[in-house]
Amino acid sequence: MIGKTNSQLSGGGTISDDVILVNPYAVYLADMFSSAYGQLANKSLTLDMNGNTSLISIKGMFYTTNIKSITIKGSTAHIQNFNDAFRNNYWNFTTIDGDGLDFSSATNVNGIFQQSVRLANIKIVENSLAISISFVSTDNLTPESVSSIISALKDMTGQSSPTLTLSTTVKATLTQEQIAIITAKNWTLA
Amino acid sequence: MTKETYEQRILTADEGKYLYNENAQSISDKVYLGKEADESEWVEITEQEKERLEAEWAVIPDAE
Repeated sequence: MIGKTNSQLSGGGTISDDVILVNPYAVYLADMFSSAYGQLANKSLTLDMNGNTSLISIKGMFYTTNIKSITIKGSTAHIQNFNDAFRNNYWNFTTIDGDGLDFSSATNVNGIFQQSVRLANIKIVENSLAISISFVSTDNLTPESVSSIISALKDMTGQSSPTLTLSTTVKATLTQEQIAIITAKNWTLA
Repeated sequence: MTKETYEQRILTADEGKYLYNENAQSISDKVYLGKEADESEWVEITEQEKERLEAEWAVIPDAE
């Protein structure tokens, strides 16, 4: 389904409206729930990507939504545009889990977590990230989430050095070993 | 086994200033450079320039 959940289309059904079942043919879900903060207040959603290999943009998909969490099912490895995807979720947004985010094809992650200040738990697929990304607004990342982010950084030796931007608070929690791992992969830590 | 040794380069902004990388849209007071990173990508900016850039980035972009 594009824009509607399975149960909405079928007039009932057994799949919750909180499950976003992505149609296999879907290409753009840009701004799909942007500003739906009333409808999605404090909801825990599942983004079910199983069966879809054609989606290329979730730009602004959950921009200003007041959601609580997103569980990813399947792979986001083919998505190119993550621009502002989870931006401006000030109030409740704490978690991205399940299979996690795979940035293997990402060309734009600008502002993806900007102002999502309560984000604490995030899972990113190992070695999938090769472009600069910022978590500058998120002071509450757990140590497990920080480890997941570091593991997600692809070794960029021999290529231009992307930048991982963390909040001052989170950066202060990094060990010398973690900083050395980041810079040894030719990533710059800001 | 491979052993690799390199110098850890750290850029620290002067007091009251910040380091800015336009390509990465990143602002920080302390930067740990990647082992092959080009330090010339980072320039020092003032508090006012920082606030101006952050205000610019806060503008809601047009829909795709």
